[in-house]
Amino acid sequence: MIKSLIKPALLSAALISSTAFAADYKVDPSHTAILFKINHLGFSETVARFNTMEGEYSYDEKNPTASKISVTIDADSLDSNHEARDKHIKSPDFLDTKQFPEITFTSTAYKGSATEGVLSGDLTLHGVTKKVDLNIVKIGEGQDPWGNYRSGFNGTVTIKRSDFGVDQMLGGIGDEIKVELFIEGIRK
Amino acid sequence: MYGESVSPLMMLLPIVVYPMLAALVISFGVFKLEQSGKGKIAYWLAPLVIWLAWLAAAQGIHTRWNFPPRQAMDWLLLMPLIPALAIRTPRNIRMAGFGVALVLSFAVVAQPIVGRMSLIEMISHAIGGLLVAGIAVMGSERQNNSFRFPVSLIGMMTMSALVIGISSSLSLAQMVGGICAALGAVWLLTRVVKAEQRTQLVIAQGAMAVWLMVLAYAHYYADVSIWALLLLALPLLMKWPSAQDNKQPWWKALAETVVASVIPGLLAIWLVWPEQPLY
Repeated sequence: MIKSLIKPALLSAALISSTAFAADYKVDPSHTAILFKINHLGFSETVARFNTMEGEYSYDEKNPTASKISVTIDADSLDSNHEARDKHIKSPDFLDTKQFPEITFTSTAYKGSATEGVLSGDLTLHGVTKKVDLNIVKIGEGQDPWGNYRSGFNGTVTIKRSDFGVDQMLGGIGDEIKVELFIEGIRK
Repeated sequence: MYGESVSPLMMLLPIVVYPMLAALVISFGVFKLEQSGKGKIAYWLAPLVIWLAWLAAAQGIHTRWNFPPRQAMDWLLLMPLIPALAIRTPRNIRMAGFGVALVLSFAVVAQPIVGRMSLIEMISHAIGGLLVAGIAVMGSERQNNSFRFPVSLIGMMTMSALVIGISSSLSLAQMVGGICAALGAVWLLTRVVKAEQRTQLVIAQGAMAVWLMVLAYAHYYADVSIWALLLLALPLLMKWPSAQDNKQPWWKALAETVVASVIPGLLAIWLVWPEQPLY
């Protein structure tokens, strides 16, 4: 009798535990970076980053296609290590951050394994929303020394700024922007 | 790899050539209407000359212009119509009429920013805007020299284009360049075509209305220092001696006007000069 009760109980616990692992994570901004590279006059690539962002994601190792993410970046937190240039990039010539203070990405689908794949979603930049495909690689997951459960991923995507209406100075500053994401989340 | 490179001539077309041509055609039409006795149409068209000509420049700079407007820049192209027309409000309420028209028109342009403001901020910004616009139109109302006032405006506008360009936004600097070119074309035309002095002054006031809207846009959307903008606009307060009172040779009057109008602008450039090179 007891045996017959324990078995379904253990099974339910395993199921609950499995759902718990398909958990929701909150992006840890202190271990997350969003960088982009853009060609400068054909001589070099200038690197910039966004310092402020927030987001959440869901990751299920057993069912990776159910993974999803939603990130909001504060466009005004742009930092290219050059104050005057930052002001110019944030001006109406480029990102127009007073009018479009947020850059958002919301995933719509994931194709791939638990460790590598392509995350498709809607990127809203400069008030324009376009579908983009991010190449995602899982770096790792596990318990940190303070008892939090963490997971981390890297992502890359190349977009054309002109597709988003950011088309000033295309002659000297590249159209293609290579975006790199380094995301770490803490399980809720 | 870097997209299409744009030749300097192609860049100059929208900023200088198109607005100049448009201003020449429209202002010539206004002067002819006035001379042929159709004063009523000319009366309402005169303050709009520069706005209409500037649109030729603005649509070439802001190439993604949407109508009906969707973005702030779309609104910026449309809304100067209101303060430009407000120049024709009755004289006894012109200062307030122009101020209110300019502040409300710009509030439409600045919807995303106004939406994030607290009530106190909105009130203080509105008071500031009313004061600046009111003083500007009052300064322009005192002018009765159609040779020197437009030149003074062109001088201030040129300095403001430099200040905005150095400070943060090249596209807004180009927008100001478009107003300069349009007003310059009208000024040149009036050297060869007979036109009423009052009409010429109203055309210059219309240019000032568009310019103030672009300056406000540069301050709110591109963080250009309000102190630099106010400083370079100080010559608006100068009353130029009338042509009858002034017996100087034309070139001397011109040089004096240019120098007096750009000096505060040089200070404004110094104020916004970046510590590091921009590019």
